[in-house]
Amino acid sequence: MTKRAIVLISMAAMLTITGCIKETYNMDILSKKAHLSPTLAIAAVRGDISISDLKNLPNDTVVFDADNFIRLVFKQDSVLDYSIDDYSDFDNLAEFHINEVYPVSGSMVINIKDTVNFEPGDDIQIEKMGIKTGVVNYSVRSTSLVSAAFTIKLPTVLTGGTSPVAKNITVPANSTVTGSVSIDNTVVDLSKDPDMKYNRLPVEYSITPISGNFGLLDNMYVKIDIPSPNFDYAKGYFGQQTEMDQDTIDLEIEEILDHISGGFLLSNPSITISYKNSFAIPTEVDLKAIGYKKTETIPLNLNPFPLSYPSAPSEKDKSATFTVDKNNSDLPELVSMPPQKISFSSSATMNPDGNDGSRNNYIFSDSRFMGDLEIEVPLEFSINNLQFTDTTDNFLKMEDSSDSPVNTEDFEFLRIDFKAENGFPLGISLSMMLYDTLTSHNIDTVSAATLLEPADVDATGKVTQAKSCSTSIEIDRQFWSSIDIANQIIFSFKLNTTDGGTKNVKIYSDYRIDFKASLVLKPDIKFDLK
Amino acid sequence: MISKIKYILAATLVLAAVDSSAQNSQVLYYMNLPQNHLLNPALRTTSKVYIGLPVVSGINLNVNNNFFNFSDVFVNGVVADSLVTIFHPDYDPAEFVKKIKDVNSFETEALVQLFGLGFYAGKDLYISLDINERVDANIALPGDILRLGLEGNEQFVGSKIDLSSFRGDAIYYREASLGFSKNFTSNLRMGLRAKALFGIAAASIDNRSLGITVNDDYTHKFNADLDANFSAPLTFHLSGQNSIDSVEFDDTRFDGAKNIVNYLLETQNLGFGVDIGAEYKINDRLKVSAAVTDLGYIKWKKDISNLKAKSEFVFSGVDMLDVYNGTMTFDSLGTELLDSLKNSFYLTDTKTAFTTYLPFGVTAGGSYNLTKNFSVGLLSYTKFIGSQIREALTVSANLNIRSLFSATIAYTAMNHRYDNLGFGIAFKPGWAQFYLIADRIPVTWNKIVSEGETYPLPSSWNTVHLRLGLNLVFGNKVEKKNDKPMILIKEEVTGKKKK
Repeated sequence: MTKRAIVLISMAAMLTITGCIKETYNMDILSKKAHLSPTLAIAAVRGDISISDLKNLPNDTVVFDADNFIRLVFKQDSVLDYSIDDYSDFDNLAEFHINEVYPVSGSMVINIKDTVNFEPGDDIQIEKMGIKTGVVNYSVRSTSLVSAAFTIKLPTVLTGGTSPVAKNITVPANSTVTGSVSIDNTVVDLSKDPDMKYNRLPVEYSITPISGNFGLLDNMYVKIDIPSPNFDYAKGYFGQQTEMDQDTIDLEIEEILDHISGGFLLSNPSITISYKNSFAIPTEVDLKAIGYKKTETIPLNLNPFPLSYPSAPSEKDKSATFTVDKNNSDLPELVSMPPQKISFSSSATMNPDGNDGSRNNYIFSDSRFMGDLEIEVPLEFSINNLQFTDTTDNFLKMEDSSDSPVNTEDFEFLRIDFKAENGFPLGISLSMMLYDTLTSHNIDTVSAATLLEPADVDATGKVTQAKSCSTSIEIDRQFWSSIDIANQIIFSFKLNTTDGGTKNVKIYSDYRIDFKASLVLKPDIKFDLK
Repeated sequence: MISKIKYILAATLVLAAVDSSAQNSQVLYYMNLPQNHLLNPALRTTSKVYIGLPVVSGINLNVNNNFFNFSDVFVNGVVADSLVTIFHPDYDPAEFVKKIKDVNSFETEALVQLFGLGFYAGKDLYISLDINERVDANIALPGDILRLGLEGNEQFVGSKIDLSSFRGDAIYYREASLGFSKNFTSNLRMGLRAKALFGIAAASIDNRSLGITVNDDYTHKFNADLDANFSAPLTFHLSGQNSIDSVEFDDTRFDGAKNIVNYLLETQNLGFGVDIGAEYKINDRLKVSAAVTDLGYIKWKKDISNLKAKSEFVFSGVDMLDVYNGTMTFDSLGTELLDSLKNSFYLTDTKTAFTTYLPFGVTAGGSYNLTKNFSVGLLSYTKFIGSQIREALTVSANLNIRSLFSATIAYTAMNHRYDNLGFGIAFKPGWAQFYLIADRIPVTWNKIVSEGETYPLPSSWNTVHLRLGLNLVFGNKVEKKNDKPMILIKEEVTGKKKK
């Protein structure tokens, strides 16, 4: 038994030691090629953002209402600033000149009454003026051989409201006497002539010979000048003067507009002019604007509107506002074109209803018209397939492929997974197309048709519920290899508001978008075994 | 002439003399060899005296891995006229990934016996003395980390990359043991082997928690709570907030033979171990035995460095609001991530002693003598390495003719393989006992051709285990029978002589 066991065990040992050859491996033909191609996924970008989180928004431009509705407000102070000095017609309002010859003879006092006609300008009828400072310059030349006592009196130029301005001068024989009389703080009444109750200034002279008689051929040459006094106010009728202004603004967005298509409408923009008017003259403003976009034109269609003015003399200033919005114009349509050019023309017509005879226009020496401009754009709009498309040279293509930091063989695919809870009523899609101009063919495209879907809104345009979106953008090897063929890349972004832009949506500052973008890539890491 | 041949053979085999190792040798257990007391201190050889000489002491190297073989890495038939690796572009890595286990371990053990002695004292007391130099290293790689490296992290979306089973230990120590075994009753024999352990160098990872959670949105949450302790002439240079800048090995400690010897004879890292075992004879044919071996620890106190990794951070990409507010840029994102990872590991100022535990084993078995010299055996060995449990179950046929000749054929199911055929043979011409043991005989082989040469290589690499060596043995202690013989010779019964 023992011997048999020994033999069996020895045989078994021999068999097991020699064994059997399962497989042959020839290391001389070992391929040195090796690669690793793991699929890596990593969170790349995230955000949970609402507009109220953005810290650097200019507070004076982005305005949040109490209910968080957002308005964009652009203010510019003093965009309109006109003073009395800007009106040339008022420059020499109270200026007048007299150059008369009065024959004198005999020994008696000669009393002369004359009237000076003011010519302030077309249609201007001045009844009264208050003079702050001024002088009456006079020059009296006597051809008489006797000296004379000469009195000049302006009976309707009252100092302190009661005392007429007068000047007694002595004119030596055959001499010229010049001088001036102050008319500071006087009121000039030009309405005393019953035939013409405006622009008329009576002047009275009293000439008395001193030590003798005037000869038959004696004359008094009288010149009186009131050179541009500083008037305090002027009352009357200042005509239907019209100031016109024209301008064309080129927004220089033609190149951008060539890449944009689709509909966009800002629902309720407005332009408000806040002004302070101290010209107590009824004035009507006619503001015209036309937007041009290629062959399309949209006029503003704003009717002329009156400016508020003070009820002088008790009221010297009047503050008011005027708003141009969708209720009185086609401003939303014009702004939403958007226009390449806007031509403006404006006119301001005083006394648009003409002269009713009341002559109740008042202007003051410091009369001004100052206006602040405020453009308000409430973020309420609709967007219907607003698409921006741009074609660029293929910047991804390298002149020498060895310069490329990424070879097509290095990736099996690269995918961007995008997920979002979109609380904005705005949807975005995008695409990137490789284009070959030689064959006029699109070679390959990566797109995200529903990168973001707009959130649902209620009847007022406010979001009721965020929208969950999930999309993947995959760039595979075929795309990478197509880069070398294409010579142009066409980018396209499309925006839509809720329901395809068929309703207006509103933007509130508490809207949030919570998004996460992850990168999934499968690199093909090649190396050689040593 | 015969003596000369014996000595030539002895000299030849000295070069390959191997002593036992911590990896249990299933084949050895039922062989009549002095080394069997290392597997169960209650076992002993029939030789009265055994000496294991430093000159002939063996270096035993075991390499075990539970997840790949040569054929798993090199593949024929994928590309015509070529041999490819699993990294070849035309090879489907999923084929390799299928073979990855949840915990993939790689263990290596080395042992150098400096001295061995065993002898009987008195009636049945057996005393043994052994001094061994041992290096044990093992690493367990979670399957997830291999899948992560080969296939990426996308497959883990919505789950956790569990790395809590990651562990690693490497210890180099000297073991001096004194063993006793004795019959306590006529049937029960018990043995004890006490070991003093002298640690020389160690690296140990204590992993309480390690993992990466990949959420559905691809954000990653890293968590780590583990310590790495070292007992070695290493200096960690710090930068910033206790983060590691560089590591320097102090090789001046090994300048000259004297310094080397001083380092190797270091006794500050002390430990203690014990093997206990028992053998019970149910009857003359049937025996059962059990043992617990390598129960022990070493407390490391010299050249200590402690690294801690305790952090939890989430990588979720760049927050656009931070970019908008200027507090973050895309360029700084990568730097911030690396800094977070780097700052997760920091060096503590403490030089805290740490303890490593030996991977202990539990053995249980039984043998049945079919004849006086021939038995069949069943043996179970369970090894505990950290949280891993390794089981080996062996069925063997054993022939032991005193100390003259021993042979065993064994079949073992272990290490996820069920084709482990083992063989052992020992014979004693004179004082020298030669033995050759293989717990796993490569049944199938691969042929490796390289530069015109051909080399055989076992096709399965899960277990590479070979032991051969030389013992000096003297005398043969035969166990007295105290029962009736199994086979009665007729003449003894009738008193007549058989013709």
